[in-house]
Amino acid sequence: MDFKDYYEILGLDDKADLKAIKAAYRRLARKYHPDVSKDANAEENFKAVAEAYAVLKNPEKKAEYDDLRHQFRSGEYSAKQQSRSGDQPPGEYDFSDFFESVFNQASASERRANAYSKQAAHKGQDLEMSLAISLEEALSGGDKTISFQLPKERQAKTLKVKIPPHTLAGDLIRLKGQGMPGSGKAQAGDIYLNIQYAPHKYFDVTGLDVFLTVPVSPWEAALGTQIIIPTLTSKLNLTVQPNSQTGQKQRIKNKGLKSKHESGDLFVIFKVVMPDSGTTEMNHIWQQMAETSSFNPRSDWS
Amino acid sequence: MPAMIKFTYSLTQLYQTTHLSSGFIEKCVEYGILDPLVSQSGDWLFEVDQLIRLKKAARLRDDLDLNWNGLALAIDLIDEVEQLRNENRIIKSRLKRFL
Repeated sequence: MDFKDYYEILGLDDKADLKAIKAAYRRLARKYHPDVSKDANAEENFKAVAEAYAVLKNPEKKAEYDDLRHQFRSGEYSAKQQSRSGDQPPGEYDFSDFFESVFNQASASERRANAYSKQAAHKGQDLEMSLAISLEEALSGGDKTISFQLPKERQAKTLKVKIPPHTLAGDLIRLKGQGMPGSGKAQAGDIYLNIQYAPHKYFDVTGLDVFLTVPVSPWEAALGTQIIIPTLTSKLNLTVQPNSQTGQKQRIKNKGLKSKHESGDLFVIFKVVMPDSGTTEMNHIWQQMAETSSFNPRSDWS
Repeated sequence: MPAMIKFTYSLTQLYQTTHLSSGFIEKCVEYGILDPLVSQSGDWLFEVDQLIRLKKAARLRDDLDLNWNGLALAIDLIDEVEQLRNENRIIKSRLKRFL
């Protein structure tokens, strides 16, 4: 088991007083709080900071820890330690093995389980997870298989989830009784799946509206044409009007995502693209255009 | 596994499922952190996103030692950052398709 330097975790030296310890904890707790930070290691960092603070804010524990740290630094540290129970750390996070061995304190979840078992049977904890679905699944529904690991359990759990049609980002799906087991005969907690959209190969979404960027050649943009475009459910014939411009939008009604009461639209945005290289013959045609046209795309740069 | 998307909790169900006191929940409503629907009989009904918000509020209060005004402000700002991040992600993705 690794020795944990709680001072280092809080960015302090060991002469720090309670005021400095508090200030460091507050600053780091705000920075790493999993509800605030999007950092992948936020929760881990937050737990470490909370654990360090739980020890260093308590004069008795701090004295005990300081002794131990001194031993560790002079090479006399060993993992066997005396027991003592202290006050509870903030929140509902589990502390490290190191902490438990030094302060012989049950981890947060065991503590909760013990507290609950003394009362009447108690429902298990709920869990929140996010689930990415494709835009096609959001519109038409589908079956998803999710795999996850409950805290304190070795084996991963696999569930098939039926996504109903018209499911949107931010919707919460409840899987009843799939969370943490309850105590005694009480029911297990639930799982809440927070729906997100997976990035799509072609489409972007704002609200219920879906956006498709359509590349067109300069002559298609100039002369107009018929093309086939993908939608979320099938394909569609689209007329490109003559003299279409990059950035120009065309709305196709009711081909976006749908909620119970509303239907979004599909917006097609044209993007005029040059061919990679021209043949002599093509260059000849461009040359003719250059001589014929008086078009100046920089006319507003006086 | 059938998915349940639209459902509501009564105040009693909400504190039974979260183990939080009805006092805490009422205070959250008072400070505008939670925004329940009101049933025809005048009782509060909480949609499922409110449950998730309530738990977040409890975590922030415990871990960051926030007072009520600070808590309400933090939650509003977290929501706003979340929304801006989403917008930013969409705009970046649309821009990338264009360049």
